[in-house]
Amino acid sequence: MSSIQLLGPFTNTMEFTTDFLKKIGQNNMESLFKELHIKTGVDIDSMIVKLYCATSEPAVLELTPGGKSRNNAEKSTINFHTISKIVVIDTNKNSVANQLSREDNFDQDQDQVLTKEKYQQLDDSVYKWKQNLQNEIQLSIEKTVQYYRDHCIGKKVQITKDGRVGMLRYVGCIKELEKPKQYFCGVEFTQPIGKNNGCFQNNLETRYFGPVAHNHGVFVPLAGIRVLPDASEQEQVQDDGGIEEL
Amino acid sequence: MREVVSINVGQAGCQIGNACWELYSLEHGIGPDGYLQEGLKKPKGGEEGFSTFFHETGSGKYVPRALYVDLEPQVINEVRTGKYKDLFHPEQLINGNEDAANNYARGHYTVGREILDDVMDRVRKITDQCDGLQGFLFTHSLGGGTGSGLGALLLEHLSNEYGSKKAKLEFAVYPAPQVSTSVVEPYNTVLSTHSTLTHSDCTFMVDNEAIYDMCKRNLNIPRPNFNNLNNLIAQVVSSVTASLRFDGSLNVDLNEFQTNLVPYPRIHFPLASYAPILSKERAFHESNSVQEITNACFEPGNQMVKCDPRNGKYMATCLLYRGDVVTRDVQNAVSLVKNKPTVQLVDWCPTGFKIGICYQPPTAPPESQLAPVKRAVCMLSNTTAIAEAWKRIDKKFDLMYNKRAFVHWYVGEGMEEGEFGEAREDLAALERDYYEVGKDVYGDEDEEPELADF
Repeated sequence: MSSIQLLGPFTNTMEFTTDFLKKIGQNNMESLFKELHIKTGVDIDSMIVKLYCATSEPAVLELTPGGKSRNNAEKSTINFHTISKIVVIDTNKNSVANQLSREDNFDQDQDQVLTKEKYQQLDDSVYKWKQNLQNEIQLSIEKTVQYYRDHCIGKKVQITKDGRVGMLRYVGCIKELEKPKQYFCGVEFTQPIGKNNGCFQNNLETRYFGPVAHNHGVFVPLAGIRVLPDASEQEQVQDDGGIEEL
Repeated sequence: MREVVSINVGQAGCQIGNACWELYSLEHGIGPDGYLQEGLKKPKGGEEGFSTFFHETGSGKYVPRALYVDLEPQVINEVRTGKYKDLFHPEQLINGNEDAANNYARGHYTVGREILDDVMDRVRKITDQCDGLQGFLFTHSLGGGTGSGLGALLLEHLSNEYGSKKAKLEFAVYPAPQVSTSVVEPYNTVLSTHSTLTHSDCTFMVDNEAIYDMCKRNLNIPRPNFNNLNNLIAQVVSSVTASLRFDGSLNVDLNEFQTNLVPYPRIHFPLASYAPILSKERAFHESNSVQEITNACFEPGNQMVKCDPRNGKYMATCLLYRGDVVTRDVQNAVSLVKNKPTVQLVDWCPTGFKIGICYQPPTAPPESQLAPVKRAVCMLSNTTAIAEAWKRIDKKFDLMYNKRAFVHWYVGEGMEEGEFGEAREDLAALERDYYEVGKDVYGDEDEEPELADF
């Protein structure tokens, strides 16, 4: 079994196996045309079929359904097993196949098929699913915020990206940033290693914690801090470490 | 016992089935007559794994848990008269007498319906022989009439009869970008995808052109034929199923593919890549270390579908190794791959690299051009890049449907024209789904760096 190339008028290359020719049977031209019509979409009446044979002497046989053949090889000499390529030509310039080939660059606007709004209303879309996911994430963030407010204000925290240690003074939004769902932490240091005094951009009217000394305060995103264990807990950790060393 | 039933539908499906069962038989030491090869006391690879795909009869003969279905007799007659004719029970080979003429409607409604009851009966017979059926493995094409139409019809009915708990995995031959088998391929593909989208759990797509190029480039076959293509596809199918067929490997359940690869039911089209693909001449010059074959999986030339993963993001990845592979080497290789700038992961789920190792090396069939190798890897990755393939086919669909070209072929078989619009809309939703799934959840349109302080 080998594959043969079939060139249709507007699709690029078509391919099929010799099975297809076996099914048709030797020299049953009528079923050949029928099969080619199904494969290429070209009407039988306007079809010219060129059979290329890969014999020692390359031969081309041109067939039309009327039975006339213009060729450089006799029809009877064509062996279906030697066919290497079939080209189908559509002589009807206004046929669907030819029209389609002229519009190969056609690109339909996605909205014509399905608008964004309609898509977003679909029940099983990824859009809906991710929105739920996002809501869940927001919910877990808000839980963290609540936990920090209830249990961690006044505790020692570490800024994860650079290791600075300070005291947690504020957890919540910064109104001036106009990001209602983003949370930040206000941290006070014992040394001037911060960027503000407890006010957003050091503007006294936008105080969030403090007052603290100049450059003793900083704001970081919620995810940017780590709460350090209390002094008593810390001792315990050190104790454990000690036991491990023994 | 965790049996898997293979169902091969249509010409492409049956021919891929042939290549797969030939390979399975070789791998397990089963002769073409269904009996163990001389000198073997039991099938290779452990009996439990083996019995997921083969059924043992009272006389010691092994029969594949498989079904061949086609609407016309020719391809199945070749199985009946071919080398492996004694392997299958005659009842496993079903054909009609009138083909689907590349028409989804014929496969799905008219001609396909006539054969449906018969097929479902045979499926029941096969599943009755199973103690703990895991699920079904489909091979079919999306471009032809039987594979797309009857394939979808069978999936729907299996889904109704066996429920969603039995996994249904597909290997689907997808129309290639430049090469096509018929003018109405885009119609068949879109219609079939629409009707199987909710019934299939995981679909591995294979496009002929990608395989064709591999045969030419890597195997030095100047004019590859379908046997060459199918042999290569069979290697991939075999790698995917190896963990089910051989004892003592990592992925043991059909459902696990879905769990590991499919974050959301509609996004169930992982991209398969395979390495090494080497001709016998070239094999001597390559070392094929774990690192090399792992890297090769990320090269577009080793993919089963033409698309560019560098333009997409990865949601999940499974690496299925076979043969002489050490876990430490795999870990090293994976950690290097993860740091590649071209490998982008989505931010909304932790993309782990799931690893499977099966110690049975791949087998090269005697007449295949593939060189025998000590190890190989098959990568299954759910990447948003595969949406390119959908875009391509949708575009071709629109071009024709805009003129209602050839629609009468389908309406003539009793299909309603509305199904075209409905199917196309579903595919448009799928395209948008892929866009949405690639969007970051955390990143917003924020211009400032993540953790800046102020």
